[in-house]
Amino acid sequence: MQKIAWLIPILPLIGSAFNGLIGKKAGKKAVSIVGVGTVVASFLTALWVFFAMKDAPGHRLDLIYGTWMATGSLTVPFGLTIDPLSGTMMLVVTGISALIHLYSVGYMAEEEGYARYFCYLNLFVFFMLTLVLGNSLPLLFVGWEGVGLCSYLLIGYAFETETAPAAGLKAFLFNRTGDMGMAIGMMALFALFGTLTIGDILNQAGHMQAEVGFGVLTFATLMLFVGATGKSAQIPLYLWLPDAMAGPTPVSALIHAATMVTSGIYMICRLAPVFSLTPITMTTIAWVGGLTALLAATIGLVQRDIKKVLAYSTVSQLGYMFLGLGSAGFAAGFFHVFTHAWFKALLFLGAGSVIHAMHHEQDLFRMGGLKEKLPITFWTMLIATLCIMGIPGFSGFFSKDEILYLAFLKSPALWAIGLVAACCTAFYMARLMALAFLGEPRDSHAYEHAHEAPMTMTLPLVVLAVGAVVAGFWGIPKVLGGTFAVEHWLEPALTYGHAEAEAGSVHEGPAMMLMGISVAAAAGFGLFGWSLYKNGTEKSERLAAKFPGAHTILLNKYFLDELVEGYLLRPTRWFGNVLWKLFDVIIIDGIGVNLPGALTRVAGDFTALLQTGRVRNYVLSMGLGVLVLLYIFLK
Amino acid sequence: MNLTSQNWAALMPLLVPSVAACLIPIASLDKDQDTVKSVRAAMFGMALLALGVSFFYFTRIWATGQNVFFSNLKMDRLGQFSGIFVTVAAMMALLQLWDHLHHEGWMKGETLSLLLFSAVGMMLFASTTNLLMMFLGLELLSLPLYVLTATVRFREESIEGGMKYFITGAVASSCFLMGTVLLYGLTGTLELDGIGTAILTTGADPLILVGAVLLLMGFLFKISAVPFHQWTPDAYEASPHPIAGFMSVATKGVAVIALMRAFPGAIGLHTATGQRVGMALAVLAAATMIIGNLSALPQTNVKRMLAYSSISHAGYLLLGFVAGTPEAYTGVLFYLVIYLAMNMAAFGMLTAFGLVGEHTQFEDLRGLGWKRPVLGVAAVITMLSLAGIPPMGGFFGKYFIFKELVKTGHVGLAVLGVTASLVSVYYYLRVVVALFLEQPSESQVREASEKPEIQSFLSTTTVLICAAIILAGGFFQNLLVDGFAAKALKEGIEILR
Repeated sequence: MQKIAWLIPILPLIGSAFNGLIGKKAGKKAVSIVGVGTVVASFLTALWVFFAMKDAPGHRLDLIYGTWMATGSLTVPFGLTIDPLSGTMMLVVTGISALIHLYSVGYMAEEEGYARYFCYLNLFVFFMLTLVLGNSLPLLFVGWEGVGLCSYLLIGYAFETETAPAAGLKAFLFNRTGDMGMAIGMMALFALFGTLTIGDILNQAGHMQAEVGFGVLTFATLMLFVGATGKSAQIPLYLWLPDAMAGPTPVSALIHAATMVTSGIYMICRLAPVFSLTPITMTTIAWVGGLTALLAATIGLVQRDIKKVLAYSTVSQLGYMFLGLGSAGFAAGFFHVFTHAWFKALLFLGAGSVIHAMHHEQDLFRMGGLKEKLPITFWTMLIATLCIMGIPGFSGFFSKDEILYLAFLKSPALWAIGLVAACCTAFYMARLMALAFLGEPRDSHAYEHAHEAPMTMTLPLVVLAVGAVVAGFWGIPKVLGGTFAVEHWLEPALTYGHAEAEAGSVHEGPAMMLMGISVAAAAGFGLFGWSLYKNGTEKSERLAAKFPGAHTILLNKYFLDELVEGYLLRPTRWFGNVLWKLFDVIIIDGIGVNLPGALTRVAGDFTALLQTGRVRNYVLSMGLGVLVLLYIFLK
Repeated sequence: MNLTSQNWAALMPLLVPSVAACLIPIASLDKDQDTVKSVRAAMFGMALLALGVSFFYFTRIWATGQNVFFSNLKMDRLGQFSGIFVTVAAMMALLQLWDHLHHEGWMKGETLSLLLFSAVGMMLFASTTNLLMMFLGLELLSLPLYVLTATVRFREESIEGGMKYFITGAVASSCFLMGTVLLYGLTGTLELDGIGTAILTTGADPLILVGAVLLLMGFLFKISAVPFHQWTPDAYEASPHPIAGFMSVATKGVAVIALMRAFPGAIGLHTATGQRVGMALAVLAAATMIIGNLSALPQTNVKRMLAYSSISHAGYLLLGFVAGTPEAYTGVLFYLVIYLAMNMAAFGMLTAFGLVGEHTQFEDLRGLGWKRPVLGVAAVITMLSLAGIPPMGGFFGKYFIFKELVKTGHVGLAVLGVTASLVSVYYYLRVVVALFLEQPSESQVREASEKPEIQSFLSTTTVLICAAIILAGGFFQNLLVDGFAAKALKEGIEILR
């Protein structure tokens, strides 16, 4: 009966096929019903399967549907694995997808290509679930590539504009770079373990000793991590995510905040027993995560585009998750994925609601005073803001604090980086809220016409807000008298029944003090930002004028895009031109292809000359032929 | 003389078309303008009926599995195979002629009569092992063809091509006869088997070898192997398209089969003489493929291109003789079947598009594929098959032969064959490009709009049937290979059994 789990990914695929093939003819109503309905049905199925998994021995369902490919020593089954990790992720994906699909019905109502949008969005859900549930790395990779494709398609949704397709292409190319690492990592794992089925790999890994120094396993995990930096927007492959905001806002919420960008973290959690064998990789992950968190948060301080702020915030939060993973806190990292999915989706949907109300105005400096006009949006977004700031009682607090604590155990420097990033986060979030909702309206025309969004859009906001508050109580830290239940729940999946419980679950020493420092810092910077921007932008401009250098650097995102363009893209393009003009045109086309062709043609012209059209020559050649034959026969 | 039913069975397929061939000219004596249409239809009907009866006889004999004979006429499986081969080609040519002669405005009864006689000669040529009978068949198929080449008398090229074919053909025939005389004089027999044993037992007298060379040349002329090929482009260009198709298919086919009866039928590959024949054929096959394919490249006339193409295909067929295994000969026969479909379609396509007379340049094909899409697709299938591109039948024909070549150690020849067919892709695809990718010039469009619409139901049908055979050769080749070609070979030529 649990085998019905195949329906979970397939239902959205059916929806996608329907919307893509006949959606345009069927009309918007049918598209909405099928598009939202299939995802909701998928969520309900997932819920049922989730409880079946909970009752199953070892909290684990391995469902095999057949053999996908069998070549030589490689056999890859078609199968789904449902355990606490993939089960939770599956619920998050289907649940938030369902809410965002519903939200899209309102948000996209007036857009061209409504059916196309839902076709892509449903397809994304299908691929994301394949990624989450697949029981082998190749199947996971199919989902991995598939979500990349859907991301590309949805970023470039407004293909008639100039920026959107370019942003889509950028996202795709950055992701491809990472995917290459992913593929290499998979091959290395295959060379090492002789199988690509996740369960078998983890079983073998459970019996292995941690690798000392830099070996094949370290190489493999590092390559997999390269894949993760591409998909989850970490240094150095994060540049695509801010540009990806060219896509419709619900897409930003679903793909570029809540689900797809966390698949790198998910993949590492999936292979946690392998990663925990490689200390070098773990340290790398922690530092890359921490630095990304800080870098992105500082850039977020000065952005004017509401979605750009949230985008950098996402990059920064993803950095936190990696910081957690790298500090051996797989459960903590995943817990942050879980809470982040709620409050970041909420933030994006709220931003979407603001943009919707302001007639596609995204500049924070032209907003202001929307609190009265958009009360539901304001209050729900405020909850999300408190979550992300890490105010006690809200979900972000629980997960972020756990990560910071583990980082401290790993290295106090990492903790300091995380703390500074958290201060920045508190500041830019307070700034965003104050600029959008408080003060005087700076664009009175747009303000006059602003109105609260329809039910289909506000309902998901409210549901997500409730989720954002509640989600945190799943992992109350031990230092506050909780049990950090999430860790216990995920344990069978993360350790695969081999290793003992992770380090870091025992809270000791300065835990309480660290928590106090981070909460105080976050609250302080939050209030600072709030007071600086609540009455408009004059105060902040004065502040910026005091530090013109720093302000310019931050505003231009450390000039990283320009550096990539100048030192990476331009030489590559130049090299490509050389290959094209020298190797392709001259050597391959010219000498390799056209020259033999021309020679053959000349030879043809020559043999055609033999055909003189005179009968006496014909007979002569026949005579010569007889002579040749005679020679062969009589010699 | 008492004839048994077996004798009658062997004779009837030849007798029926002969009688019809005699009757048709009488019918054409009627010059009454009122009845001219029905007389025409009656003549074509009679010719078609005669060939159909002949075809039916052959299939009935094939179904019984018997080897029937009358005196020196041996209707064994191989003879039945060539009978079916020739009658099918002749029927297709006949159907295409109806359209072609109407387009060209030249409708004479003797054309049909000559076609039938030629077909009878071909059947005779391929179903005997007696050299004198073979010569009789050779002349009976050649003389009508010389005339058929010059059918459309008001075209100068027609007369010229016919004359060239006649003169070179006379040289070849006399060589064949001279070879026969030498062999008879030295071995005392006209039977191929007897000559073969005599060579084996007495050793190779140089004069016998001279006789063999002259005989071989007679075959190679009809196969149009280099350097006995130069009549081909002129003759094909001169003839009406269906006749050119018929010549290229049936003449070459029966010459190949007759050659098989002599070599390896009478002289095996493993004998000393046989090895010399094999070496000679290898040299000529290589020359044929090279010169045929290269000369086809610069042609501007589709028919001349097809003539050189048929020369190059002769090269591929001869390669089968070089390999000399039963599978290779099976491949040759299979290739002949596909070749029939390919060339009848290639020449028939010109008729079906209404390109008669001088209008057979590549430019004349421009854009016609879009006007007649079904015919255009069939033409594309034909050209791809001629170029040997899978999954068309032409690919498998070449594949069977080249595979055996490699197996018997002639890797160099196989590489040459593959390279040659690679070159051929260029000129075959020119047809496809002209049909679909090039725009007709303005004057062509104007001319086309002034002319009445082309009626070519019959020739279009034959082209479609041919395309179906080509595809069948690609997808169901086992049926053709095992059920038809291999059977004909193994029960026709003792040595390969």
